[in-house]
Amino acid sequence: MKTTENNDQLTRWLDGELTPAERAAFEAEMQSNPLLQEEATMMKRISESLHQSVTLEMPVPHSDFFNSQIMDRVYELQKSEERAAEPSNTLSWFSWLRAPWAIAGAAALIAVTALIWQTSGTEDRTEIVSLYAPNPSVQAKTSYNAAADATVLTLDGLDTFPADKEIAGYQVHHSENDAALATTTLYNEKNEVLVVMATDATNQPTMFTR
Amino acid sequence: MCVALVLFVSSCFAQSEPPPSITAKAATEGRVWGALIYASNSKTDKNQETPDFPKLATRLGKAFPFTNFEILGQHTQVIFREYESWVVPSKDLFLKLDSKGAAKKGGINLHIQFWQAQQVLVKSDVVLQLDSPLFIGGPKWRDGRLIFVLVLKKPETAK
Repeated sequence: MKTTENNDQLTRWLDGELTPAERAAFEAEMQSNPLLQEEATMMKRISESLHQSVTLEMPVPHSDFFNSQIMDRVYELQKSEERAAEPSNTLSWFSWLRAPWAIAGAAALIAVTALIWQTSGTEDRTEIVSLYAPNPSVQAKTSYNAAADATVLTLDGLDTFPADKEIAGYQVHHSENDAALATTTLYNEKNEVLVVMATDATNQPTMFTR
Repeated sequence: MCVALVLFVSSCFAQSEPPPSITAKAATEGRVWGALIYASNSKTDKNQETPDFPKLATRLGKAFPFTNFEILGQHTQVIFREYESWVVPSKDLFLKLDSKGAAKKGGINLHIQFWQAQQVLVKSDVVLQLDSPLFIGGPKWRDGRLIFVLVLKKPETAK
């Protein structure tokens, strides 16, 4: 006969969770209980079959990118929660300031805050102050990606480059500027001229290549 | 187009040795490294390491959903104080930089124009800080995307 306790032990036996003593006792009981033994054998076969055919861990495509996006989202949510909590904090600050040690404590707090603000600000990172995309179908988005430690400007809605177009890349080694003609000449490592850049009367770039 | 410019350009490409610079060295604000990157999920590993930007592929992989980052072209350029500067790793996508003066902590205030041939894609005012890169996600190409990377480098003797 199979009991609820047997069921529980059967599950734990299949999962390898029984202690050595419990396991010995359960296997001894199986020897004397053909119904329990039959079920245990069947369950074990199903369990093994499932383990073979189902991959429990699936690789995440672009895991680095998605992890960093999740972290950015968590950071944004934390900031918005902090901002939402600010009004109620203000009241508790006023009541806290009534305490006799408040002046000394506040002075120390201001000093520490100023120090943290000076050392942990965003002044070390590149910042986009303003943006303008002349083509109205282009959406420009900016963000700071902490995982990459980079400022990201994403332009969506741009025309796709034709797939059959070859992109001509340059390895520019150095350049020279000619103020009189308002040109910049770009050279490769062999000191050969790659490109001469200039602007026309309408400020459009003009590029002279070999 | 002025005749002097045509003559100058012709002389640039005609001579094996470049013509001597007409002007004295212009004052500079700093030095940037710019690169045009082709980001894709190609099975062939085309990730490249460059001393100008350590861990380039790893860092780009955190900002863009691709696994391969191939450097198509690169350009180290000084930023002129009084003149426009060009960062041209490719004739197809390039930057025009105008310095707006020094910023805090060794940074530079810049006006940036991102050009695709004769079309300006975006204009931006940027505070570029040392070793804090700017990634510009540009147009799609083939199975991936073109990305422009711009980094302000530590001061060095101008090339």
